[in-house]
Formats: sequence, C-alpha cells, structure tokens
Amino acid sequence: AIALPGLQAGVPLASLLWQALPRPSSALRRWDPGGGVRAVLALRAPLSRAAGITFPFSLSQELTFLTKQEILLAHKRFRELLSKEERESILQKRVPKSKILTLPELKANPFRDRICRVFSTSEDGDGSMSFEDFLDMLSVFSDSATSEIKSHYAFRIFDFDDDGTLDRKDLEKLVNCLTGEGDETRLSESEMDQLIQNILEESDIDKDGTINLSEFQHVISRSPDFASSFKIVL
Amino acid sequence: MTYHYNEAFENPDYHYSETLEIDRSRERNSSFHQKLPESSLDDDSLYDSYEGRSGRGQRNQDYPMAIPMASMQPGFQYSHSASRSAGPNTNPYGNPHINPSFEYEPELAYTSPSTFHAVDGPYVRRSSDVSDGGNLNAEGECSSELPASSSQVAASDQKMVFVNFSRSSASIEEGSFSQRYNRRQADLVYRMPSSLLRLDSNAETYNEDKYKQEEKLIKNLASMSSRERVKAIQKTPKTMKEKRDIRNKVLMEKTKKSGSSSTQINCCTHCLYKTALSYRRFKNGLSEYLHLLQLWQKTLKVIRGKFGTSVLSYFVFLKWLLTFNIFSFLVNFSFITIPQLIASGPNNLSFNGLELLTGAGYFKKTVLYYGFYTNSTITKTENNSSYNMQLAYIFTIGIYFIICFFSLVYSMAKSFCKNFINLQTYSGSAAKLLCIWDFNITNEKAVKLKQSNLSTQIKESLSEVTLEVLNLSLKQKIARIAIHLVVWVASLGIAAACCAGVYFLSRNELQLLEGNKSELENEAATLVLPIVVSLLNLLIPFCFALFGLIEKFQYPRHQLYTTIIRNVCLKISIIGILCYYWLNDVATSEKECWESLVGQEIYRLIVIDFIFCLLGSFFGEFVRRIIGTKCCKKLGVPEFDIARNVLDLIYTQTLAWIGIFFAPLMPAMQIISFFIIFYVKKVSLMRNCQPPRKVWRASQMTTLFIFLLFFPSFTGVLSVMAVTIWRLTPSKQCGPFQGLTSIIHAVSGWIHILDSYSSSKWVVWIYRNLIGSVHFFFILTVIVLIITYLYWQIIEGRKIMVRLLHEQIINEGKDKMFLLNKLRALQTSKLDPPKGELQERSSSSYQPSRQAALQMTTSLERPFERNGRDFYAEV
Repeated sequence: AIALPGLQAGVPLASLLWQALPRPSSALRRWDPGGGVRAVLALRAPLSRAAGITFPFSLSQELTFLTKQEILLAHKRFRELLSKEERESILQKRVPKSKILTLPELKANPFRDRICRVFSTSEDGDGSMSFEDFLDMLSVFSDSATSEIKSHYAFRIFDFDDDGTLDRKDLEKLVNCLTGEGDETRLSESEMDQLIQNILEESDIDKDGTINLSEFQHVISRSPDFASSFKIVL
Repeated sequence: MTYHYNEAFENPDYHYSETLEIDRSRERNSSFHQKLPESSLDDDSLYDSYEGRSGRGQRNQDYPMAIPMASMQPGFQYSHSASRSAGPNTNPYGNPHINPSFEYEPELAYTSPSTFHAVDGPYVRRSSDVSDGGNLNAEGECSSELPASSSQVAASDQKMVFVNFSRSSASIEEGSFSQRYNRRQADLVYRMPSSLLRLDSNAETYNEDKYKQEEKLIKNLASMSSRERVKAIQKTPKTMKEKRDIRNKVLMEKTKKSGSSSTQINCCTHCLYKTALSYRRFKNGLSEYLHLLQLWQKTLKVIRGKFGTSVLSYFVFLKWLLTFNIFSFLVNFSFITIPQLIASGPNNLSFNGLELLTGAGYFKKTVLYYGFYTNSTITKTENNSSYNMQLAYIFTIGIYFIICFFSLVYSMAKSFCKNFINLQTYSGSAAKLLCIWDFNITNEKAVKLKQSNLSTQIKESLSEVTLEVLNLSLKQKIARIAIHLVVWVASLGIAAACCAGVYFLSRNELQLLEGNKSELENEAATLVLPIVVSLLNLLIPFCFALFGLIEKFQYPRHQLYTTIIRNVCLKISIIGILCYYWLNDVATSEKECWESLVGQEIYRLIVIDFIFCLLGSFFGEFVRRIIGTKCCKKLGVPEFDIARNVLDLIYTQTLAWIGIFFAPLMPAMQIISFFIIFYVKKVSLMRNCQPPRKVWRASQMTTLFIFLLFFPSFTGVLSVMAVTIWRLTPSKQCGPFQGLTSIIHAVSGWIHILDSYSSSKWVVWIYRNLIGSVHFFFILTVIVLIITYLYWQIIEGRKIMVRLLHEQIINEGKDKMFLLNKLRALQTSKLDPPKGELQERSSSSYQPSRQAALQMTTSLERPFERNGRDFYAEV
C-alpha cells in the first residue's frame, strides 16, 4: 500500500493530483526521479553517499522558479567553483565571495558585491554562498520568476546599507554604479544632487525623503523592461 | 530606564501584540526554538545581535552594565541612520514604512492613542511620578498576570497597552531629564526577577510574533490548493531554508488535518495517482526535449551578454517569426504538398540555375507553385477513401490564417497588457534609473560602454530639463511645426512617387513578357522589378533618416516613432501597390496560370530582398565600420539599427504571407532565409557593431512591432486573400480551382454535396446559419462592440480610481508629515533643555530627545528593529 498524505474524499481533484506528484518523502522516493532523468539519478547517488543526504532536486524545483535542467546546470557550475576535495559534500560547503565573483555572469556586474551580500546566508556577512543560496539567486534572476519577487530583490540589492529604504546615500551609490566610478563618467556633485532630487520627486509618493519597497515596486511596475533586464542566466 | 526604553524601542509590537501569552509561547518555544538559530544565520541582523547579547546578558546577570550598553546599540544605529536622513527636504523618519497599498493600518490605529499620551501631559506626568517604584510594581503585577492572561483576550491586552505605553513614555521623559538616574534604574530593574522574565519575554514575544506570522502564513498556505501553494511558496522572498521549513510545516498541517484515515487508498485513487504520475513524467521528459529544441540558446546568451536586451529583442523577434514559418511550413507541407507529391507526374523541364533567382522555368512545374496542384480527388488506396485537393487547399490555408490570427492577437494582447497597462503620464524619466541596469550584460567592455552611455544620457537629460524650462517663442514654434509639415509632405510624397514608379514599371514588365524575346532574356527582365523594389526599400529609409536631422524633436522617442511610421508607410504602400497590380492587372490579363505568375513574383521579391539584406549588412555595417575606424574616425563603429532591421523582417513576412496562397511552399524559403539572416546578422553584429547608445524600450518596441505585424501587415494580407478567394476567377487551365467561377465555390459546392447526406446536416447548418449568414456576423459585431464599450467604460472608471488613490496617497503622506512635525514641535517645546545640557547631550552617546522622536516613529510606524531580512520577509 502506498501511504499518501492528504488523500481523502473531500480533497479537490486538482490538489489530489498534485499530492500525488513526487516529492522526496520516504514513501514516494522511488518515483522521485521523474521523466527518465538518468542524469539526476547518477548525480544523486554519489552525492547522497558522500553527504549522507539525498539532494532534493524535486524539492528545489518546487521551491524555486528553476527547471530541472537549470538546477543541474547550476549544480555543475557550482561544483566547478569548489576544489576537488570539497566537491564531495557540495551541500555543506560555502564558496567565498571572491570565487563566486569569478563567474563570468557576475564578474562584470557593477552590483556583484551587493548580489552576493543579499543572497548569502552566511553568518558573518562575508558574502559567501552555499549551493542553496546560489540556487536562490538563480531562481530570482531566472526567466520565470515573477516581477514582484524580482523587484523585491532588486530593492534589496540597491539598498546598500540594508536599512530597508533607499535614501539619498543609497541612490548616490546606485547612480555611481550605473555610471561607473571613472572620472569622465562620474556625475558632478550638483548633477548628482539634481538627479537624486528628480528621482525622489518622481518616485517618493509619500514624500518622506526615501524610497520604500512599495514605492520602488510602483516605479518598477511602470517599466515593463525590468523583468527582462533583471535576469542572469547561467 | 534605559532598559525600558530599549525594550519599547526594540519591540513595539510588544505593546499591542500578544505579550501576555508567554506561558503558551514557552511551550511552543521548546519545540520552536530551533527556528531562532536559523533566522540568525541569515545575517548579522540588528535584532539578532541584540538578542544574542541580551541572551548572554541574561546568563551573566552579575554584570548588569553589559546589558544597557549592549541593548543600546540598536538604538544607536538607528539614531545614526536617522541623523543621516535628516538632511534638507527629507524627514528624519527614515524607517521602513511598508504598507504597499497605503491602507489604513489597524496597528497604527491601535497604538496611536497611546502615542499621543506621550505628549499629552497629565497622564504621562502621573505615570512618570509613579515610574520609579510603581514601575516595578507594575511589572510585578504584569508578571503575576502573565499565566492567567493567556486566556484573556483583547480587553486586557488593550489595558496593558496603555500601561506599557505610558510607562515607556515616562521613560522617555525621565531619560531626557537625568541620564545617570536611568542607568541606575536600569540596573535596579534589571536585578528584579520580574524584569528578567520580561527580558526573556521580550525575546520570546519577538519570536512569538514571528511565529504567529508564520503560523498565519502556514494556515493560509494549507488552505490553498496544492498548485497555488507551490506558487505562493515560490513567491515568498525568503531563503531556501525558510521556504523548505514553511513547506514542511504546511505539509505537516495538511496531514494533521486530513488525519490517518487517508492512508487507505482505493483502486480509483490509485489509478488516478498513476495517471498523474505518468503525466508528470511525460511532462518532465517533454520539457527536457523542448529545452534541447530551443534554438540558439547559447548564441542568444552571448548576444545578451554583449549587447543587452535591446539588440536581443531583434533576434528574439526573428526567432519568433522563424517558428511561425516552421509551423506554416509543416502545415502546408503535410496537408497540401505530400498528397500532391504522391499524385504528381514527372517534371520534364530543364534546370539552368537562374531559376534560383527568378523562381520561373523549372520551378513552374513543381509543388512550389499553385499551378502545379490538381483539382482532382486523389485516390491511392483500393478502398474508397479519397483526398479532395480543392478542399484541402482552401481549408489548410484558411485554418492556417485563422491560427495565425489568433496567435497574433494573443501575443499582441499579452504584450499590451504587460507593457502598456501601467503607462501613466505622471511618470518621469529619472525614476526609470532605478531599474535601468541590464543585468544580462556580462561582457566587461559592454559594461563599461553601457556605463559611459548612461552617464552621458543622464547628463544630457539633466541639461535638457534646464533647457526645456525656456519657452519657445511663437515664431520658433511655428517654424518648428512648418518644418515637421514639410518633412511629412516630402516623405509621403516620396512614398507615393515610389509607388507610382513601381506600378508603371510592373505594368511595363507585363507588356514586356508578351513581346517576343528569348526565354532567358525574359527571365532576366523579370528581375528588374524586384531589384528596383529592394533598392527603394534600402535607400529611402536612409533618406528618412536624413530628414530626422533636419527636424529637431524634443524627445528622441518621437523621432524614433516618426521614422518607424514613415518607413512602415513606405513599405506597406509598396506592397499595397504590388498587390493592386497583381489582383487588378495580372489576374485579369487572361494569362495562363496567373496565380503561379504572382507566386513567382513574390518568390523573386523575397529572394532579392534577402540578397539585399545580406549586402546591406555588408555595406551598411562592415564597410561602414572599416570607414569608421580607418578613414573617418569621427564616425566610429556603427550602431545596430534595431528598428530598421525589424521593419525589414516585417516586410518580408508580409510578402511571405501573401505568397502562401500562390506558392504554398513559401514558408520553406522564409525558413532558409531567416536562418541565414540570423547567422549573418549575428556575425556582423559581433564584428562590426556596438550596442545602441540610446535607451531602447525593448518590450514596448516589441509590442509595437507585433502590432505592426498585425495591423497593416496581417490584416492587409487577409484582405488580399479575401479578394482573391471571393472575387477573382481562378485560371482555367491550372491549379486546384480550375473551372470554378470563384474559389469560394469549392466550399459551397462541397456543402451542396453534404446536404444530401443526413449525417452531416449539422455542418450544412453551421455553414448556412453561421458562416454564410450576414445576420450572424451582424449580431456578433454588435455584441463585440457592446463588450468593448463596457470594458472601455470600466477602464475609464479605473483610471479615475487610480487618480483618486494616487491623490490619497499623497495626502496621507502629507498628513503623516504634519502629525509627526507637530509631535516633534510639541516635544521640543516641552523638553526645551538649557543650552549647556544640550551640548553635553550631543557629545554623549545617549540622545534622549532624538530617541524620543524615534520612539514616536517606532510606535507610529512599523518597528524598525527588525533588520533587513526580517522586515523584508514581512512584506
């Protein structure tokens, strides 16, 4: 007999179908490698042996916006960042920020430090990333992530001092990132003041001198290009 | 007192949340404490640091000084951030106000009365009198009340709120008066066991608060259907770990609810389960293969990395058109060409190479053209099943156009919905900077280039703003309008002249074909028209671009739009005049198989246009780069002109659509040419071009292009088709419709035959009453118009609503500012300390008046003590 949680008369059909879908509870594990993904199986076997845990592909698929292929690719790329000994236990290892930033997708990005900082769950705030953090990041930057979650994280990336609002200092840093730190491209002080003034005038709806998340999302909602430009694909 | 202050500051939720449910939270915490370390993993949050320290302090309770110092720190940071944001034109309440819709917050309402007590006077004073000793008493009371109150509800809560608030306000006042005393007080308080409990409870309430929120979330999630739940969990902006926890808890909840009875499974559910599983497996497998099928993933990624989304949009559009053509090729090939290939005889014409350009000669007797298809029914098998070519031809093409129509409308509507729904007039351009960065760009050089482009753009727009303040005089305005008018007249005149030229040239050619010349010469002569057309298409846009230099538009956007409109006018009118020539002159010229002639002409146009496109990217981009980098350094590297290239694509696609009827395998040609164009453009782009300097609103422009593809292009094609099918007489000696007076008669004849079978009466009924009837379409149109009108009215209403809400938000903001200013004014007037003390205070780390103000804000708005992640997680 198969133990299926949540199967009873009152459960609507759709949820019943979903319930039936594989997830890595012990009873269902043998169905978990759906769709003939031999690669997943092959990948998972040594992983589980080494780390003593199964790598929850379908779980991470459920929790992120990534497809199985994308997760596999992410796994591969993340493995490459680790040294040979560390590869055995990929789930426990953290990759330091300096190594994450060697990824060509992030290398040139002016917001790379912030991206690492925002997605890292490291306790000491050094921006090092575990594989899960990495997946989180890719999920947010993926094609299928919703605009809300994208704007949410964009806001956090731009919130340089992590205080929950974009104030003048944050905006200044943001503009500097946009224009580059070079002497020719950098804005003069008066230009910067004027620009920040303009930005605040346009987007600070409640006039408290800072841009909060909802105001930011309001701005984002008016620029349809955002969802396609806020994207990093491996 | 410091402690008190900090407590109030650290956790304002305390005052209005379920503070008193400590006993319950205790029980929970035993199982729930594991959550804490996780959350503190997230970052070096203010709260967590505080919590950690206070926890430490609690253990080392012999060192009371550690506590105030440590617990003061968050306040410290906060005041720092407040002083930072207290510049001109800002207010000091730089704390998160997260209320996306700016709703009336119940919490706010709940706390504000007690907040006002803080400044209101008598009550406060009374409580501050009490505060020295009474405070402790109150605390004792509080702690003794604790177990009982878990069962009590709002009433006692509310009472406590008042007590708490008055106490905390008292603490502010005292804090402002004597600082040392506070310390002592804090120590005193700290030594009390009840305060210990409180300290503990402080952390716990925070926990509990968090827990409550989570519980609520989990409950919500558990009540959702599974698919929704997965979506909702995906959308929560939390780390994977947290998401996983939530998910597991939701699942636990679900299993708890559904109980153990669900473990038995009957046959039916088992079956269902299996089908669901195999469906899922199938879907997974399919998605994997589809992933492989996705063309040019890597190439597109490279382009994206180097040129950003704007240039990418051209290639995506190209890819989209390519899939369109692949689909139509598959449809045409399988339903029209394959049956014909089975039935057709051998081709005895010779092949001499020039056909590839002209499409005539050998190709005349192939499946490429309309003329080759038979009008007979094809029977190959012994039994009676047959294939009616006439019906197959008309239905395949008809259904293809219907599918095209709906998919175009669908993609257009989706694109409109996404990109134009939120266009509001009061949005400026500066705010766009917030989301202007293209995270796709990964190439270092491209990043540098983009940065410098952005910098110049920002500088330009800043100077423009100052320029635009200058009003133009009336004379200048008139001059400007006159220039625009003249340029418009000139460009439309040029387009008209081109059309006239093309028309006379084509009529000439028709007569030429009747003259007696050798076959080869005739074929070569047919190439004149397509070459002229392609030349016009290539050169006139440059001419229009020159006009752009004369006109001075205020916004570059306007210039872009006018150039696009002019180019579209030119291209569509040339195609229009050609269609007129085909339908009016060729079709009535009594020539043998005029449909095939039209097909050949379209073939030639497409081939020559393709060649010109290649030449264009050679001369326009390669030679231009050589000139730009070697001879004339001023010109520099050319930019990739997205608009021109996309319009070229739309032009060829229009031709191909018209051609589908006359040459069913036209999509195959399109596929080949698009394939080659893709690679040529890619190489040319990589070698010769730089990304466009101006901001390209990729999604809006894509919407515009899809619309252009639909409106003049596809609807034009549909009308050409309609004329061909309903009005024109098909040629008498060739093609599937030979011998009919008009093509649509094939369908009506078929209906007539069906009429005699009783089993297919419904088809006849549908044809007569729905498709063939005017009344039906009349009623349909009226209904559609009514629905459109209703929606339009709804939109108008929404617009008004949006405007009102916007005004309301601004007013609320003003209200808030006003109240806060008033509060501060009252406070400063009340506290108004002597000068010396003020200096002392500013030098000391403890700044009561500021903290008092902060206290207001924390109680007025959301608590600030939550660090980034926590506070984000709430939203």
